Amino acid sequence: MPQTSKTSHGLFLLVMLLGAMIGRAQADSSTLAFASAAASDGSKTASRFALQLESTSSTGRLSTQQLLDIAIAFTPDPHETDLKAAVFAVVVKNNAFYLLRPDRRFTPWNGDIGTLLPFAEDVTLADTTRVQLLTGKLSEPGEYQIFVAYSAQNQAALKFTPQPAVLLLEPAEQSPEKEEAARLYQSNLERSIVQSRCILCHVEGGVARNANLKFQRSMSGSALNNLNSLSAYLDIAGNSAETLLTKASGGGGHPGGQQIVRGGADYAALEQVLKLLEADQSARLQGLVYRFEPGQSLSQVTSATSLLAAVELAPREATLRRASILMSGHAPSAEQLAAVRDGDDNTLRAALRGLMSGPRFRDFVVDVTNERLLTRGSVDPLNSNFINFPRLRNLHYDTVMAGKDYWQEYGHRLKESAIRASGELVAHVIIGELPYSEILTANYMMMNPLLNHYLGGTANFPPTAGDKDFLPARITQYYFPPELVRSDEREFFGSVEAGHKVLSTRTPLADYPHAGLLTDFGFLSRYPTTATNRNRARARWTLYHFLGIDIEKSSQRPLDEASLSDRNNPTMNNPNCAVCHTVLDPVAGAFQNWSEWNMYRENGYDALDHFYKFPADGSASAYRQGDLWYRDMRLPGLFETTLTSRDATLRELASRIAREPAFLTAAVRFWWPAIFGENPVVLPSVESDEGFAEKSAAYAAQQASVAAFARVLGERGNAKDMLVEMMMSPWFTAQSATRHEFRAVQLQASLGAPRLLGPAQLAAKTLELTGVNWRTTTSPAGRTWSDYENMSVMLGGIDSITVLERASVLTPTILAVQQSIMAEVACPAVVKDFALDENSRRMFTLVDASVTPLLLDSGTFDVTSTARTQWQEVRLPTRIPVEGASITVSFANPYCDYDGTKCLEQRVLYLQGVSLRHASGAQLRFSMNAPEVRVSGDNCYVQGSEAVFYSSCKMTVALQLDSPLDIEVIAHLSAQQAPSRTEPVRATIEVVSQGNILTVSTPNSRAIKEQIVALVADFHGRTVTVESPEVAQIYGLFVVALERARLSGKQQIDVCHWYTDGNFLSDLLTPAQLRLARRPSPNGDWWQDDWTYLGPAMQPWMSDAFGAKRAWIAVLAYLMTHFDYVHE
Amino acid sequence: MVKNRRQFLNSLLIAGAAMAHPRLVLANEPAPFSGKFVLTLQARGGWDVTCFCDPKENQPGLAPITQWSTSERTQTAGGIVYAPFAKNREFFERHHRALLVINGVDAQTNAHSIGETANWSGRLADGYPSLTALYAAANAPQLPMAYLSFGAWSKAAALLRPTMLGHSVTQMRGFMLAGRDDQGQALVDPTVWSLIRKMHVDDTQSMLADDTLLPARNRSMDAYLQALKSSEALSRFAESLPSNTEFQALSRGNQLINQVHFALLAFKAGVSVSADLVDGGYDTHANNDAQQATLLGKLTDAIDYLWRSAEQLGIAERILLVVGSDFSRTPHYNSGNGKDHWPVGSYLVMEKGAPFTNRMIGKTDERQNALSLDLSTLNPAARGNIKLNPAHVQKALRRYLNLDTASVTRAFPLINTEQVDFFS
Repeated sequence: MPQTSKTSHGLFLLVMLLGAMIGRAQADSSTLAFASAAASDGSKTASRFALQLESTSSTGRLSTQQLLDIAIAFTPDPHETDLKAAVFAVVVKNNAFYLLRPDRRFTPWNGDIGTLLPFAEDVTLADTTRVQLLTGKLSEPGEYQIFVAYSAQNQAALKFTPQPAVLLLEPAEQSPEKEEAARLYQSNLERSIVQSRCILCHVEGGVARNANLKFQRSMSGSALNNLNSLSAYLDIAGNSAETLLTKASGGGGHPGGQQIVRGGADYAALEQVLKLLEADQSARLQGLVYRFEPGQSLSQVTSATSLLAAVELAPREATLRRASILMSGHAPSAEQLAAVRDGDDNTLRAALRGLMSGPRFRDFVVDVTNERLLTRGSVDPLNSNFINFPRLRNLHYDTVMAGKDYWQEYGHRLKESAIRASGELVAHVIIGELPYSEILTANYMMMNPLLNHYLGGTANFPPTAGDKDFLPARITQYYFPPELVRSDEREFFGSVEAGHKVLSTRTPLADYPHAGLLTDFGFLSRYPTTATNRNRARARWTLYHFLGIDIEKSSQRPLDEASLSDRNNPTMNNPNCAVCHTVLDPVAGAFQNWSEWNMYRENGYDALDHFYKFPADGSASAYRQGDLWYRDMRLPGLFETTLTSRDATLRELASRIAREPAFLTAAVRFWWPAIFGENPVVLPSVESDEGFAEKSAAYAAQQASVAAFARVLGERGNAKDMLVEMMMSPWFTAQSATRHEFRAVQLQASLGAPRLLGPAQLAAKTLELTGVNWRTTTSPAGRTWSDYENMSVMLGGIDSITVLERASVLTPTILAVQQSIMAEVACPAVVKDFALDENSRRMFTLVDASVTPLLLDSGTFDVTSTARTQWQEVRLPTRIPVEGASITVSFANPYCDYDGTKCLEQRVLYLQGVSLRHASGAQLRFSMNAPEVRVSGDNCYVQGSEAVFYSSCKMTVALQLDSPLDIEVIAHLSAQQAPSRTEPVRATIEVVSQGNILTVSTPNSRAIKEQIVALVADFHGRTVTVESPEVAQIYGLFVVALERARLSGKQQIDVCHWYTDGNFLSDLLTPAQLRLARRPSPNGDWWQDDWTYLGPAMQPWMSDAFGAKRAWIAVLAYLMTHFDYVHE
Repeated sequence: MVKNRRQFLNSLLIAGAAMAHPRLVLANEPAPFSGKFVLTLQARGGWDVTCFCDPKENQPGLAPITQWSTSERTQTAGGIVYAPFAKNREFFERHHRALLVINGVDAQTNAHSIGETANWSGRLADGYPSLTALYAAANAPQLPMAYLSFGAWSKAAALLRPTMLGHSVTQMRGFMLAGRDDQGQALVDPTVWSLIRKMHVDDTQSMLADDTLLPARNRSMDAYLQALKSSEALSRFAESLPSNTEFQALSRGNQLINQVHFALLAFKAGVSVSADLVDGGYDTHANNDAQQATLLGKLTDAIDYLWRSAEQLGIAERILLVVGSDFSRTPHYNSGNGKDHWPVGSYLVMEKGAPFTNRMIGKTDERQNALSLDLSTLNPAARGNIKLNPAHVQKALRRYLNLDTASVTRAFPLINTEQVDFFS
């Protein structure tokens, strides 16, 4: 079997390649023997292999639309006859290896023979053994190499084909027949047949919406799109012109009956076009030539391929990292990356699946759900003025009557809770691996403790649960007005209305009709109903999000005003209006029980508007007592089916939607932009538009993938399955182009586009990597507030009200805002990380704040002497490198209690000089008046052979050696202590290399570079080495920043907005310390810092004697404003 | 050794300092833009022009079309007739000399998304850019915020990327001062910050040299590079912006005024040439008059503010403003005193000192049906050549702004549409 280089995952391609397994009629067969066979242990083998190919083609020419059977036929070695055997097959496409599994699907294979698995086992070996390999379609043009093997029972050797069989398919150009068909279709079919008859059913949302033939309503490009629909219909195995003509003329079990008369002019016109399309199909088949060529050299073959195949996929570990940052904010550990690198695609699948849990993933799902449903744009999801939720009403009443602001105290939190519930529901379904349809059919909603209490939820929360903890719960405290007794009068606190108080309750609604997202308060509120809108907005977005029907776009054609001036109930009677309303209005009717205030029959009877029931002009109303829906509208339902329920209409609608095949494809489209960063391509509608062909090709490719992902979702209803396969696909993993002919289509499809991180993802990534929760705080009252949200649009996000589409590509303003944020983040990130103990740090695990490139050794020592004459020695062993070093002794903690004229007490450090002692006993002493000694700083005096240091003074001796030397540096010191200070005088000895800071190799410079390597891996997801130019460049930045810090003469960081990190204090202080450092403001809205405590605490954090913190701030600022940080 | 090291570092630092002046290392700056500034103001949801610029009075025997006409009559300001409603009198009296009203424009749809598409791109189908996108792409695509949008219908058909701005535009000052806080203090040493920018430019150019980059990745990197090159210009612009508090005081709750103010300052600073302003809420299916009065009042306040501010900034003569909506509202009230969707609406086109202003073109009958026009006179004619639709207006605007011959427009022809001479 072939050995392989590292391959990327790509089951996707082969799944596409196989297509649907459907019935077929075999017409021709070919058999081809492999050139040779071999045994894996090097022994001789007489085994022989052949491939047998059968297809519907009788000419030996194949199309990607024809069904194939490929079987392996082999003759085993004679002594193996009657033994059981395992059979193997490997297909190579685009240099990637795929292993055939027992379920006849492919999985990428790493070429390791130890991981080779059979697709068939217990095969009894006969003189000629035949095993079915593949049954299906080859829908992807390109080149396929097929290797086969078997392994007999109790035989160690594997018998295999060392040379592959090569199957080559080439695509055809559009034929003249297709062009003629287009001309005739435009003139004879589009208006008179398709737009006037077929489209009544064969249209999005129509009765025949799930048939293989679906047309587009009239618009500028509809003729071409509809012709393509006919062509695609004919390409489906088993379909033909005759099939379609039969159905159109009422035969073949056509549910739509007779639409054209056999033998009539329309029939002839349709037949003419269909025959031309069949001829086109045949021409395409002619252009697709297959060859069975054992041993064909790949390099000799030029084959066309597809936009998806013409790419190189990213390594598995890169895929894991992107997914991890995207869905959980954190970078995978080195162990996790190694596991997927060394494993196979299933290892990656498992790792991806493993990301789909936990609070960060929940936040991701909540964010994605909001980007689709826009529930954050809801104005008033839970209106506390209504008495239906008595606890909520009385909370409002009691709060106002207590003289407090209801909105400030509870309203905000309740609203936030209500609009988050939709995303929490989707997250609950996905994380719990519940049937995805439960997002609509859930007979519960998600509640946090607040909602649970005031809505009478059934969840049981632990006492520690907060506003972001959600559990499924059912509403049990919803009442119709007759079941309540309320105060007679509205009451006021001063001029503020408190409203009615609920005095007592009787029987709550027994079975609150939850229906997942459809009854979500945020969803209902975001798309409110009015007396004339009549739930149509709710219906529109229900159809859009959950069935993929854009009802406005489905009728994108000119209307004349006369047709719209029709006042005879036009939505029912005017065909111009009914086109959409036939689909829209029944769904609107399913929302019949939900009022404009999102309440379930808030009056206890219905949710019909007042104007309908009691017309303002006094005219008679169609309303009859007991009605739940408008008599002048279509009955509640979905498509052609009317709902049977009166009370739980949305529950019934939800279950019907979930049974529609389009629910699955809509689910894929719901998640597409979240995973791939761009909206899916919309079917272009104007043929003459520039880029029409490329958009069409991109659309077709995406639709094929949408269908494939939908099938995955449909298998088990498990959204994780779908999300994993989406991330395994080239749409997520494409890394670079291997060919250029598809560039225009790839651009239209945004294939492999890096995902510009949205505000929430940028926030999560930054928090996880740096620990900085930028401008995000939780007030003492428990309300979380974040500038990421306030600045959402500026950061490329949405506001859910006006700006509804996330930016996928940077603009200068987005970058400017990102850079401002990251510049602000860099300082608290560095300061905080260095303030933590080594085990708690996120970033700086290889260096501390004293590590600078040239520093070879250093030590700070207590000088306990109490008189100038009381000399003592402190020692620092070190190694002087060949490039030389300077030795510095400095006063680490000068102190002066200054009264304006003199120091009342002070610390003083005295020096007699330094000695260098070798292990041999040789010693060299430098007195303070030696010519090699330099003293720098203020208030530093040399007095003969001694020196007196009053402030930050230092002495330096520079050494040049011919070879490295191990020595002990001895400083001769004494001191005067400051009696009121407990800390003794301290002196620091530093040994600093005199090498070129950019090229010198010291332990510290190596540690700094290794730290840079680690940061690049974490922040950019790239593996670099300490010798790489990239690290050299960043190290150069470090050096420049270090030198700038040194030149500033400052020993501390003087501009650092640490307070913009909402976690800064809580990460660095214990709860007890935190209580001393800050306290709640009087209104509980913010924290009041106590600087008598924080001032001294802050000093060491901001101290930067070596300049290294400022250098790392520069490095972080660089990394976090880089393209690779803000994209994944 | 020490000396050598210092020399080396100094050379690095000198290099870093040079980066503080982007002209030395970044793209050439083109000549300042000296043409018109084009704005659209989009009344999202469908405004009621019978209460505004296409006034309708109730007719005997017919259902009421406007409530204001029960007690008042249509008013005139110069060559403009208007409804005595909301703050219209003040607005039309003050601005009629700079105003062209185009009435009777049939959007040919009653669906919001398609109405917006038609009104702002000139055709019903997706795929065409807005007038403002075309204008920016044709005239100044290199500017950092060439095309501003505040959430309006601002499709750009890949010609360029609109700068999308939300309500937090009032906080922009504090977030565009590259590497500095809102007080101007450096968060990262300025020399180091310049070096970082230089490194980013170099990194990105190097990555873009890879010919195996997928085109979408190439597009993203190029956007990053262009954004980097714009940061100094944006930083200078940010310094001219009011603080958040000043913005709030200025607008007093009318977000449109913040949008106007920001756009004008961006024009003045030379970082933008076109903008789409937007206000929502016009979809008044219930309680039409009260809601339209509030909204139209905000709208006219904002337009008034626009012209006054533009005068103060010295750019009023360079402004072209187009005001419109998805469509209009039914010529009758529904049972909730609201009005539903009606395809026949209007545009306002405003420009100081232009020859085409202080007049009205297009006409509707008493039930707000569009009347046919004689193409040569633009007067209603029983056998007129045309009924106006958004394509006519957009096509004429393209010609007026010299976009019809611009290369960027070639891919977006408005075919089968007569050239109407609104602007002579």
